[in-house]
Amino acid sequence: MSFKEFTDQKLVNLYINGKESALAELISRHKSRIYTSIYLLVKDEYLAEDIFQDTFIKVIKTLKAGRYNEEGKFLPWVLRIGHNLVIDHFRREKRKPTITNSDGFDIFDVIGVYDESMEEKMVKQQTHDDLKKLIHLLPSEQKEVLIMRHYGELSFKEIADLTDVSINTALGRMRYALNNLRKMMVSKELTLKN
Amino acid sequence: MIETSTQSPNDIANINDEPMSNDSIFDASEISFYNSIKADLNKLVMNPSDKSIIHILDFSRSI
Repeated sequence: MSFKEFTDQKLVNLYINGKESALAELISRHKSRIYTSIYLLVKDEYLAEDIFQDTFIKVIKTLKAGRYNEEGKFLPWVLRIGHNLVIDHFRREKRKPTITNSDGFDIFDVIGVYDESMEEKMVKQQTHDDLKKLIHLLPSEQKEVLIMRHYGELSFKEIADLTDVSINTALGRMRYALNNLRKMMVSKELTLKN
Repeated sequence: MIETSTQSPNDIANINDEPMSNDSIFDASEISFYNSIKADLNKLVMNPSDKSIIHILDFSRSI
């Protein structure tokens, strides 16, 4: 039976008991979701690499110290660690990703920050980069929920726990994220090629 | 502002575990829009460098 058939929990147990290759399988299995979630929040590949490594250093230390409880799922736990490291980074840098306290935020309040050259570029560029730019424009809380839901595949309850809000707030932020993305796309007359 | 849920525990359990199409909080147009951008969201998936992974595995072996 190959590692690929093992559950995350089984791999964690193997790793705790000294099987280093089990960690490699866990990383291989989840690296895309974890790294993408971090990258879309920090918008910098090199920084995302650093935070990705720091995330797993914390994971390793906790597992090897015997402090991992078996109740939580592995991926949500790792995403929480990564998310907290992103928050720590922004606090250190004394800047916030975008506007905070964004419930009820209307994208048209900030859409005017586009200058004409960027607008022309976006209209002309019919690539997936358009969507990435739009995601970056979302307020941090809405972007967070969208990223955690889509890339992290977390439930709204897990997202609510991770971001310390109610489930209703997490759901509401997802709605706002989708509606704001849609408004921006309509405003910029963007269509995405699937 | 503290938000309180007006939904029953069963509603919340359903929301947690089922796809967004079953979430009553999302209307049909929102679900449809999300479905329409899923493929493009998936194109944004990125991977860390092999170097990062090697560093992580080396660290694990060192402690």
